[in-house]
Amino acid sequence: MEAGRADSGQSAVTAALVAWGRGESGAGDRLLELVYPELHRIAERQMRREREGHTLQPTALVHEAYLKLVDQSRVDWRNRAHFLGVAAQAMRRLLVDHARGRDRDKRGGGATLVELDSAAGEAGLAVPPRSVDLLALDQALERLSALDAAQARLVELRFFGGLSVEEAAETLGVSTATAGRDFRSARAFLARELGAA
Amino acid sequence: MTPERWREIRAAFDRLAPLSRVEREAELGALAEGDAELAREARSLLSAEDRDTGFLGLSGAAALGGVAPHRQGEQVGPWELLAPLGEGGMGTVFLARRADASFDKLVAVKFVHAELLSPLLRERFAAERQALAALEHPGIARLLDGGESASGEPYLVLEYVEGLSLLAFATAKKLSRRERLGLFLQILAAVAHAHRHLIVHRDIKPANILVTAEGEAKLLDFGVAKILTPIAEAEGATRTLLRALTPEYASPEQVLGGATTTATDIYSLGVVLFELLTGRRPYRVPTGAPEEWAEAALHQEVARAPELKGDVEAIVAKALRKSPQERYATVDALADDLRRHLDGRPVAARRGSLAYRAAKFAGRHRGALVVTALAIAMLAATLAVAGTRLRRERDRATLEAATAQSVATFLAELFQRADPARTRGAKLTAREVLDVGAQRIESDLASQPVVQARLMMTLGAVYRDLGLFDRAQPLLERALALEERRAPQDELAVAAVLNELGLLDRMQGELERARPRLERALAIRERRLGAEHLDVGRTLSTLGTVFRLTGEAAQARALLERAVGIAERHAPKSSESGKWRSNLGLIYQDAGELEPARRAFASATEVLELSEGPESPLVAMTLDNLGSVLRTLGRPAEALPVLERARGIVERTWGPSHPQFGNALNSLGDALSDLGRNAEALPLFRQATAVYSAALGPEHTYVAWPLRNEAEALLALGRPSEALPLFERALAIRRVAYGEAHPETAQSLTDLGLGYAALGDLQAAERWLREGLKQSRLALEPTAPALAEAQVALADLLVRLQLPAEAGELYVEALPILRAAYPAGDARIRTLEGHLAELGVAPPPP
Repeated sequence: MEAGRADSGQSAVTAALVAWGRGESGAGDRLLELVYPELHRIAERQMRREREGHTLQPTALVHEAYLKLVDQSRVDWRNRAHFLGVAAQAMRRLLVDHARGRDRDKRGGGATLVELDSAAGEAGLAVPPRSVDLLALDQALERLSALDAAQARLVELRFFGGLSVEEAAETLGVSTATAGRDFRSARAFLARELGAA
Repeated sequence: MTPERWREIRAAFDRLAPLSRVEREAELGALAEGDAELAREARSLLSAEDRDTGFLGLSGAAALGGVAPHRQGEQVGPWELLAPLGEGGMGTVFLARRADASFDKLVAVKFVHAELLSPLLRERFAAERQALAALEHPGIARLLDGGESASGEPYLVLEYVEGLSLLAFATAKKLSRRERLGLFLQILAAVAHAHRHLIVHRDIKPANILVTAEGEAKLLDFGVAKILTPIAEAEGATRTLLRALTPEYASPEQVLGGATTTATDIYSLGVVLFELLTGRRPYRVPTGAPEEWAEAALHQEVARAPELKGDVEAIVAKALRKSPQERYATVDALADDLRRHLDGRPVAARRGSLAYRAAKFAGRHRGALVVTALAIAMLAATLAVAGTRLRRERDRATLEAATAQSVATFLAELFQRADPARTRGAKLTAREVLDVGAQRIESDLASQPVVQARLMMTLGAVYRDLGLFDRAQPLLERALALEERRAPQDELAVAAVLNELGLLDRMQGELERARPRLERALAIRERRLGAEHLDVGRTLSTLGTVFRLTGEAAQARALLERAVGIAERHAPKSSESGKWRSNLGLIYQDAGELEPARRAFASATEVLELSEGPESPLVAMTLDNLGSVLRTLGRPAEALPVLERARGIVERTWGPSHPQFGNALNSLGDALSDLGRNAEALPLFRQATAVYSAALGPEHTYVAWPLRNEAEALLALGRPSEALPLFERALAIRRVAYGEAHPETAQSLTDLGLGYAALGDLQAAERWLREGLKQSRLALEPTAPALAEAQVALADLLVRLQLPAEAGELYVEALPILRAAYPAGDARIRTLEGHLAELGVAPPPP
């Protein structure tokens, strides 16, 4: 029963990915609609399991979703990058929704803390994994998006999707070197914004 | 901000970000002249990025604050905790005493909460232990004991010093200036002692100096000490992480993340002296933020103080020079100058300082030349006065600083990803962290070949040590190619990579490839570092072990004895000393010198337990060797618990698929066989064969060990037909790997003979045993017990074949070898003497 459900979810997501790979229109949106509920389910389960106040690891969630939802024998790594890109967007939305909910009912007494485990390190510069105020990050990302949407998207892919530089570069259609450079200045921008907040 | 403006700011940031701090300052200055706002934006982005790395040590210390546990009365090892003494730089310190009252002095027990024990802190803890173990001086708090509590927290037991910190003591006792200088001279003697043992303290400050009621000064907290082993580059980089825990006392080179030397301690001593005599720090800063102190150490001149005049002002100034080369060359030189001053004789510092001032007035622009490489570079960039020689110096200094910084931050990221609460056993996490690191080195560091090469070497070595040879090989080969390209500048870096690669080759059984690489590494290191350097010892030990494996025993012994000599003279209690002793022990064991071998392994275990901790993989390795030699000495009952302990450590540290676990299983099986418990040994040997085959490939020479051991156990159980095919596989592996005239091939030839003899095919047995003895004579030293084994095996068969004369000759040859190798009354000797008696041959007198 459980396995059957997962299977049908899996083939739908895989089909959407393969369609995207062929360049079919609307495949990306379809994918997002399929991925969000599954991510939500995984995240909810993890939050129930973990102690109150425990941090979420978005990239772990995204990868777990990938393993669950995609038949890996049928997709290549570019499909994977694309899936993770979509999932990253879903993840950001989900976490922000969650943080807002929490702010409303005050149970957590503030914003959700998210461990940015994939955000660290670029060109030999390391950031210790640390907790970040999610809503503040979301707003800073919006500000960055107004200045350079591609940079904001890149951060989303790296932070929330756990994509490597190459994967993110491929998804955005830029060179690895460009992605690396863009990410570094984007991260400095965010660090400054969040530091001031 | 508009998108257009952001593009301009980004472009400036992109251009500045890869530069060193020095170059950034110059560029920002130039940028500000055209567009001050743009420069401000770029600077704020750069500093936002820098803040994220920050002073790691400070944040670590801050994390420790407020977690002083209530654990009075608890017992840790043999020590009973009495009361908390305070929070040190790295953890909590407790007053304690021996629970069994066998030692009546109070001690200080220092440890870190297990859940706070990041790899970084663990490393610092190990560094402190290693540093202190080498030091014995009345001015240094002594290390009494150390270990791990039941819950896995490492702890150190130190001499408890009851006293006041340096400044508090001086104030409370209203010491005169002369008394203060006397006290300071005591501290200098302690630091000089540490320096003579190649240890730099790196965190000298008044709070780390306690003065007892009797007025004896004691130096504490070697938690960030650096052992001045010649820098394996990666190690140097990791240690750079620990820099500048206390920015008020940090030297310019610590602030810049450059190389720390004894001159670093001399600088910090200068700050302490300034404060001891004036009650103030030598710099003025607005708010006291760490960055301000760092900035001041780099750029500010030492403040004038009315308390400091003439000689003493000159002495303090010389200790506080920005450039390490211009400070006192040694702590003793500083002490000498202070004594001269106290005796009213002229001081060396003043001559230097007059020359310094003369130089200062000689030319306005050259005035800054004596300041740091940093200032030089700025000046050069802005005034464009740099000659080529100066430019080279600058490039090298900034390149080194930038490299160390990049390597350090990259590694920091990797380590921080590992779950600190589970540094042991959490292999998967560490492995994932490594894979991410390896991927990023390739993709993200292409523009920084020096950093890239060093990190590739480091990660390659880590993969190798985890047994992941396929991943290690390409990384190390790439690192070598990168370093070769820059070889004329940094030949020692080439030697370092060659050494790592040679070790990998050796571990993979590629001895012919290992040898020329290690010989080249040795030649470079000897030429550049001299014959007594610890790095030379490292290569000697690795190469010596290769010679041992190729059967060139005499060369192996010569190299390893040289390595052990170097360790004993320069770092007797270091890990190196332990490792090399253990390697030498193997040579002794091969030659049948079992008692020296046992002593070597036992002392290696002792040294490594102290320097590496009792759960260290290295301890497991020496335990394995110790167990093996105890077996050969005919003491399997003593060997068994030693080997069981080794197996446990290996499984917990390396995991069950590592070749080392194969070693542990194999040795334990051997001990069980010796005790006649062959049926219990069989599954261990089979598991060992499986582990080696999976990790190293089925043709690897290691696989032959458990194969032949399993066969021997089967023979002992009376199952020769199952044993023969295993002996044959072992022989085939060894012939391909070693050729005929090799101790292990010879052993396999004899093995087959014994197998056929057990099956009753005496003709075949004779052929194999004769061949086995022939190759043993060629391959082994005449004193090797393995030679006697081959002789006895053939002689036993000859008795069955009714050829007593030849059998007797062989027994007579073998007897003195066994007598030299084993203690009197050993079963093997008695059996042999019995055979001779049956043949009517008088045994030769002992």
